[in-house]
Amino acid sequence: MVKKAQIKIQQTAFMLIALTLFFVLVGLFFLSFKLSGLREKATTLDEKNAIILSSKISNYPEFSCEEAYGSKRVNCIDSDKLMAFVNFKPKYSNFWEISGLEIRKIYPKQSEIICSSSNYPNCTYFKIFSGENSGPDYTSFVSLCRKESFSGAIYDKCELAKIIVSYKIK
Amino acid sequence: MKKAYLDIQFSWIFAIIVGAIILFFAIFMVVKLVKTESSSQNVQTSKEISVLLNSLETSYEQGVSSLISLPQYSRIYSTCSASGNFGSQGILVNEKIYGKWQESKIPLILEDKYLFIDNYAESREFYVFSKPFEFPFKIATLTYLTSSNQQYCFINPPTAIRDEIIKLEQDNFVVSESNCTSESPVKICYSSGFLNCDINVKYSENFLVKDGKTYWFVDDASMYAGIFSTKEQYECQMKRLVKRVNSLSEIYKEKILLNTYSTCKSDVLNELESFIFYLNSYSDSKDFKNSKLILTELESENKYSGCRLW
Repeated sequence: MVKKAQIKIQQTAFMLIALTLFFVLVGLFFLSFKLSGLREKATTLDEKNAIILSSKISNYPEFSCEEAYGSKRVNCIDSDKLMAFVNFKPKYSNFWEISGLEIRKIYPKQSEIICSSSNYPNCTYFKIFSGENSGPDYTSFVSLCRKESFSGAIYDKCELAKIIVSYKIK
Repeated sequence: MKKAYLDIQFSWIFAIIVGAIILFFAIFMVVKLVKTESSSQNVQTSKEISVLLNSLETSYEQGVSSLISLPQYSRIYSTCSASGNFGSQGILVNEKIYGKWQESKIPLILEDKYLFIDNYAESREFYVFSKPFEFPFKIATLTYLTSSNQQYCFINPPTAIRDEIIKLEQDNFVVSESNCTSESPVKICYSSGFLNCDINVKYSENFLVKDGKTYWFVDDASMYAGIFSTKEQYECQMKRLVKRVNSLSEIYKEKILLNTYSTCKSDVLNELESFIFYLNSYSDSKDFKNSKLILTELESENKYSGCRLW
């Protein structure tokens, strides 16, 4: 009689363990489904942010021309300021929540030369931030201006450039 | 017979106890999940607001206004920390679901935003407008968030402010010559002689008084910042902005030292260095009082130098 009862208790216990395991598994499946949805939402928002930022970042005071080239200009990057900014970029590493920021001269067409203090202004490519796990990039067109001198006369030289912003993949 | 009866009873008791434990655990998990879900929803709303703030980032246009509609009746809080390279802005959203506030304690932290809210804003619809802060060059875009339920009445403001507020077309902003007709508005008075003012702005003297506390400002953007924030938040955000000014001044200094500037002289270096010295000694908005002279010098030197720095 005792044995029968013991078997019954064991049966119930196994049943309950199986039931618990089933619910835990369902719970885990539900959680992972929820988390993947959350990650997707976060990525979509980051993507949206990168799209907006690619069109707005050139107007940030760290890059913008302000009135250095005559009147106030929109989507104008001060090339000299950009070069000066390179020395301060570690300070700005978390500032915009982006993983990559590059500015590439596209017209007049020249071969790609990465800008550094030794070759500036004879270069075409500013690599400001280039992090790992970068997602797709978003671009917008800007004018890249600087002061030039020719036979002692100073003039504003503006070229067409592309600003490339990429965000971190979560 | 008696033993079998006892056995059955024991297995039932055992099943009930374990079942109760499982049920308790399941209920506990569901409650936790609901809390996590509401927190994640709040963080998501904060993130959406931050994305919207990016689109309000100004270039040269003055004052841009926009309406945010949230799916739930919510409270939006702004937190501020002045530590780190540029300090940080926190945005916290708490939603009201079935008459109960879903308290979220995780703010969305941003380094490049400056959001001003008077304590907190509560509604389903919020107005945000932004304005560039210049000191003396452009530093950042300041954004002001107000609840659509809260009316603000600007009494007898200077023409520039009046025109700007009218141009914003925000339903919760009213400009009046003498008295406010709307119900329980925040009264912002620009000249003495008006009664029951919540905020007294001494526009020409660059300060305003709110709840007995003085807020010093340097331009219209920082004046609005004072109107739409608490003293603590204002001082913290001003500290963050001064850090940004300092960094931008260093960038401009570096720009002067670039080779291209050997042919195109900028005579601002000395003024810029004394400006950086002034910025390093900044402790609170009261120090803005001493900035007028140095700002004028810096601005005129830049305006009339061979090559303008900004």
